[in-house]
Amino acid sequence: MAEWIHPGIVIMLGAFLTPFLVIRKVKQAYIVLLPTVGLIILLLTSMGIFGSIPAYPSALHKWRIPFLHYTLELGRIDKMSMIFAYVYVVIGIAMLIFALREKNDWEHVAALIHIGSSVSAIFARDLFSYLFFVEIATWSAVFLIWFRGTKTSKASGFRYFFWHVLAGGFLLAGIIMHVQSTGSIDLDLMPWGFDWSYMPYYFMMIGFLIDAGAFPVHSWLPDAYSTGGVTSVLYVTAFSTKTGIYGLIRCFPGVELLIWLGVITAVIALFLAVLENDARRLCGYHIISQDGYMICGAGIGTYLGILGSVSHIICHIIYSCLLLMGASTVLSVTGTCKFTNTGGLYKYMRISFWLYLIGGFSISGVPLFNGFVSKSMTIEAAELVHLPIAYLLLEGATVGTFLHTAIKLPYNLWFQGREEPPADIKVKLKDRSENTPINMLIGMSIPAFLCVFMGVYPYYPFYEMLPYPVEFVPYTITRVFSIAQMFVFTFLAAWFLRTLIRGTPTFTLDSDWLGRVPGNALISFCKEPLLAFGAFLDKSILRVAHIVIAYVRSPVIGLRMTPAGIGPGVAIILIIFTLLAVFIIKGN
Amino acid sequence: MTITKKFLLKVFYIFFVGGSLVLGSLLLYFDKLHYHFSFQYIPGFFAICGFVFCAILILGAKLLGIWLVKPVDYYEKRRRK
Repeated sequence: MAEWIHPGIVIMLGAFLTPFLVIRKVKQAYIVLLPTVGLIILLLTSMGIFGSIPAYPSALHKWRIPFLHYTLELGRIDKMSMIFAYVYVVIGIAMLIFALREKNDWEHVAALIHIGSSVSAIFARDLFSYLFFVEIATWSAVFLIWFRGTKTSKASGFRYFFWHVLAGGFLLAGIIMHVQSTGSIDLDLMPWGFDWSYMPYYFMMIGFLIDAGAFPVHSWLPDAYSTGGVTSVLYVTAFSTKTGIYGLIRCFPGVELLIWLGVITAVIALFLAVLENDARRLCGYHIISQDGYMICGAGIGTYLGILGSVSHIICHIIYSCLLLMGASTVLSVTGTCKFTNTGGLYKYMRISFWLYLIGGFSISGVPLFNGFVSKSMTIEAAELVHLPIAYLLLEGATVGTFLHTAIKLPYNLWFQGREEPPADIKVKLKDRSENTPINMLIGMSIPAFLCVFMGVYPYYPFYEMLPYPVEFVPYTITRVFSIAQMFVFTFLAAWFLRTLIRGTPTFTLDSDWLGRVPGNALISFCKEPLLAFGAFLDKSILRVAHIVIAYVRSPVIGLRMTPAGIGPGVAIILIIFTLLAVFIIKGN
Repeated sequence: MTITKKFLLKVFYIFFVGGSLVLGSLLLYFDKLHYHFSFQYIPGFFAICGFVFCAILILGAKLLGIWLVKPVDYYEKRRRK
C-alpha cells in the first residue's frame, strides 16, 4: 500500500513556488495544476490506493505525528472529510481559473494557502491541528481581503482578523479546558448540557459559530466580502464559514439550540439583505442565510438532518461561488457593483448573466438545480422531527432567497428597465459582444455545470459521497409542485412591490454597529474622562498621604499644609474610615 | 405579433398564477399531494406562503430601514467627529 500524501499540505507548500516562475503561461498553468494534483490525490484515495475507506463514522488514519504527550493526526480520511475536500479543491480550481489574469503573484500564493489550509483543517482529526490550520486560513484570508488595496478593505480586513482571532481564542480556551478535563484531543462528538461543567463546550461552540457567521456574530461577513479584492475575496467566501460549520457538525450534532439559532440566522439575514445596495454585500447576507440552514440541519442531528446540512454545504459552496463570481464579473468589467450605478448591462454581458442565473436558481432551490435537492433535505428533516415553526421559517427563508438572488440582484445589475447602462459605465464597455474575459466565463462554467448536473441527477456521484446512505427522493410531485407554486406567488408579490426592491444609495447598519459606535464610545470614555478621573484620584490620594506624613513628622507643619489638601483628600479619608467602621461593626 | 410586457404579464397571470391554483386544487382533490403537517393541506397554502412571506420581507425590511438605513459615509462621519 502506498503512503498517503496530504493534498492540503501539497497545495500549501507548492504555493510558495509561484512567484519564482517567470514565464507567465507557465505560472498560470502551475497555479491551476497545483490543486489539480490535490484532486488527483483525492481521486486515488477514493479508489482505495491508500487503503479502503470504511463506512462513516470510522476512518482511515494517516499522518500521525507525536506532539508533547499527544498524537496529532493530520489525515483522518472518512466519507465526511472526503466530500468536503473534494468540493474545496474543485471549487478552488474554478476560482483560480476565474482569477487567472490577476497579475499580483502574492494573491495566488495567498489563495493557494487558503485552499490548502482549509483542506488541511478538514482532514485534521485533533483539535490542535484543526485550530492551527483554521488560523492559517484566517491569516491568508486577511491578505486576500487587503489585496483590494483601498482604505475600506484595509479596515474591514482588520475587522475580519479580529473576529477570527476572537473565534480562535474562544476555541482555544474551550479546547484547553476540554483537554484538561478529559485528556482527549479529538475533534469529535462533544457532550452538551446546561451546567457549569459544560463551560468548555460553550466556548468551543461560540468559536465555531463566529467562524460560521451565525447571528448575531455575523457582521464581519458582509463587511469583509463586500470590500475584499475583486477576485481574491471569492476564496474567503467559499471556505472559511464552511470550515466552522464542519466543526459544528463534527462536535455538536443534535444540539437543539443550534436549530433555533440556524433558523433565526436564515431569516434575519434576509431582512437585512432587502435594504442592501451592493451586490456583493447582498450575496454576503445570502451566505449567512444559507449558513442558517446548515446550522439548523446540524442542530436537528438526525441522519437526514446531518445529510441535509452536509449536502447543503457542498451545494452551497458551488452556487455561492457562482453568485459571487457573477457579481465580481460586473465589478471587474464596470468597476462597480452597486445597484444604483448599474443596470442595462444585459446586452454587454449576456453569458455571465445566464451563468449567474444558474447560481441564483440554485441558491433559491428551484427544481432541477442542486439547491433544491439539499434544501429540501434540510426542510424535510425539520418536518420529520415535527418542528412546524422551524419549517415555516425555513420556507420563508426560501422565499426570501428567491426574491433576492433570482429577482432583485439580476434585475438591478443587468436590467433595471434600461436598454443601455449609465454613461460612466458605458465608457468602460467595448461593444455589444460579451465583455467578460474568457477565463472568467470558464471559471463560472465549472460551478454552473455542477449546479445543474447535481440538481438533475443527484444520485451519482453526489449521493454516493455523502457520509450516510441516502434514501431521500427529491423529485416528488408534492415537493416540486409546492415549491413552484410558492415561487410563482413570490414573483407576483415582488412584481406588485417592485418599486421597493430597487437599490437606494444608502448604507445599512448591522450588529457591528454595537462594536463600532457604543464600542468606540466606551474606548473614548476610557481614554479621556476615565483617565482624567484616575489622574485626579491619584493626585488627591498622594496629597492626603503627604499631609499624613507631615503630621507624623511635625504636627505644626502638617497643620500649615492642611488647607491646601483639605478638599478631596479629607473626603477620601472620611469615606475610608466610614467603610472601615461599617466593616468593624458588621464584623462584631 | 411582438411580445410586449403587457402580453407577458397576461401569460404570467393566466398560466402561472391561475394555472398553479387550479392545478393545486386538482392535485389536492385527487389526493396526489402528501405532506407532514395538517396546515399544508389548506388549498393554496404554498401560494399564500410565497406571497405573504415575500410581502412581509419587503415591507418589514423597509420598516426596519427606518432605524437601520443610514447615509453611505455614516461611519466615516462619526470617526471625523
